Amino acid sequence: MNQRENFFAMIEGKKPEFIPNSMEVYKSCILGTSITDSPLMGGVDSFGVNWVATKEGAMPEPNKFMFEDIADWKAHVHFADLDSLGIEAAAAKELEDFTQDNRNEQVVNVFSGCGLFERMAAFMGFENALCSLVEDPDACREFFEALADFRIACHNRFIDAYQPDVLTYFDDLATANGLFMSPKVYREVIKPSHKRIVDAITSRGVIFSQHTCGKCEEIVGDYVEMGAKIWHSAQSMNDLEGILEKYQGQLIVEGGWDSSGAASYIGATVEELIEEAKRCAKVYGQKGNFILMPTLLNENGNSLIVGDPRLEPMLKAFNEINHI
Amino acid sequence: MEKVLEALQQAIENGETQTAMNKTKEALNQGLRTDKIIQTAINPAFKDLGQKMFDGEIYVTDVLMASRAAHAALYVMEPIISRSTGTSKGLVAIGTVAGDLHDIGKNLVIMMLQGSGYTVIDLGIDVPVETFIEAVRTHKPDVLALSSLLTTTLPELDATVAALTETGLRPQVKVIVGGAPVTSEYAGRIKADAYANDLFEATEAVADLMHNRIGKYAV
Repeated sequence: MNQRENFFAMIEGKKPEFIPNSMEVYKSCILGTSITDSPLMGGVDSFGVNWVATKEGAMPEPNKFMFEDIADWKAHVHFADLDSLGIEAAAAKELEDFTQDNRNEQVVNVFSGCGLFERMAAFMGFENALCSLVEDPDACREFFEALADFRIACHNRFIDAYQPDVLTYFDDLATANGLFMSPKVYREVIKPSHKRIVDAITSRGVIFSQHTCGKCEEIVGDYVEMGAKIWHSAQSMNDLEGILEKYQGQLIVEGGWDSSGAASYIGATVEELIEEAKRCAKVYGQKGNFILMPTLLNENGNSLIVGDPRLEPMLKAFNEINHI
Repeated sequence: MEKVLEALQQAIENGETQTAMNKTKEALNQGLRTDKIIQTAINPAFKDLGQKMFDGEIYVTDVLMASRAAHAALYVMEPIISRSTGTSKGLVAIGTVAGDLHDIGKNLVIMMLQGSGYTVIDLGIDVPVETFIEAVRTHKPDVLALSSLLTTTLPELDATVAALTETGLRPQVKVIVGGAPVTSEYAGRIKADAYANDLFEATEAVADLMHNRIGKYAV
């Protein structure tokens, strides 16, 4: 099996030949979302929020809020005319060297950053956003519904332009210790709009992948129920083994890397990286529903973006032991 | 405990800002001292919340709402506190290290420390080593709290502690570190005094440091 065939065996709940890794299985596409959601290199997004580039990615400029009361959102939030953003040109540029042969080998994965909650926090700050969920859920729901309409329109453009196999939707809802909000609040305020986003993607025949960092295991079942086939950046503070077992045949767990361990420190040796990759393969990989996602950082930032000479030997060693 | 203080503690734990303000006013009208209100109602509220957070019974939203309620109570007491002396439990300087713009964790810790009666100097985000050094020299805080969310900025924690040593300031200030990629082991390696995994641990750890206790957060 090549990477693509192996991946679809996993999606179909069949036994794959090997444990894939996210760097080799995907052609990851990021330029579309950089235009519509979160500028990769920083700058003002389509809503007027300024993003600041950091070594590990861009983030909304701290302490600069568009509004502080969610009840005011209509006065401040203006959705961009998608025709004016150049999504199709960005997709063409990103895929210009990606041939049909490549499509037969790899899985095209379009990223969609800054999901419903993250966008709310980008507008009004994290603390205001979280308090709004409790203090004014009706206004939050109205905001999320309008935002979901916009995101669905963006996703349809992405799907038309990229013809992806997978769309990975990013919304961080948890700290390393637990969810930001209770599952009840998530289900009552965010989930209805979240589900519309999932439905719109899967109705186009595209696999939905949910990105949520941190300890979010309390709502992973909600993701599965809505139709997510992949949980991305699944971090090791969750009960990954339990989740892999519980959702075998339904959900691919992509992640595993211990982002607080020695292999994630600046200056980690190749041997430490190989050790961590082997640990992931041994602990998480044997049920056939795991994709390794190394979180490898160096002094320039995230290796996924800036590259790293340690990646090649680490992946080489991983691919020697990843057969199932 | 007086009923009004029980009610205040409950209002804070429930995140009921208006009730917290009303109960604080009521307590003051009954002649209760501000230090008693803080020690008997506000601190126990945070202690309970910390345990519930540890047990997974509550979430960040609940802590934020509680913190707002506690701040409202402190706001009511502020004119009295500012006239009295010795009410503050101590001075903490806090900042997110250079190269890191994340302020969420730091701000939550500030809210918690202030709510617990500490005076906090917020040095902000993306704080260079020199600024931390200058802050220690100028403000003479009891505790310096350093936050780093990014793995790439972890070395700044190390550099700040080393600079405190080089400048001879290390003996005069306790250093606590925290943030998602920080571990107790790492804190020990860079010779910090304490490590905290969350805002409640940070508050407890600061209390230990203030009293020179070798508590469970010492490294």
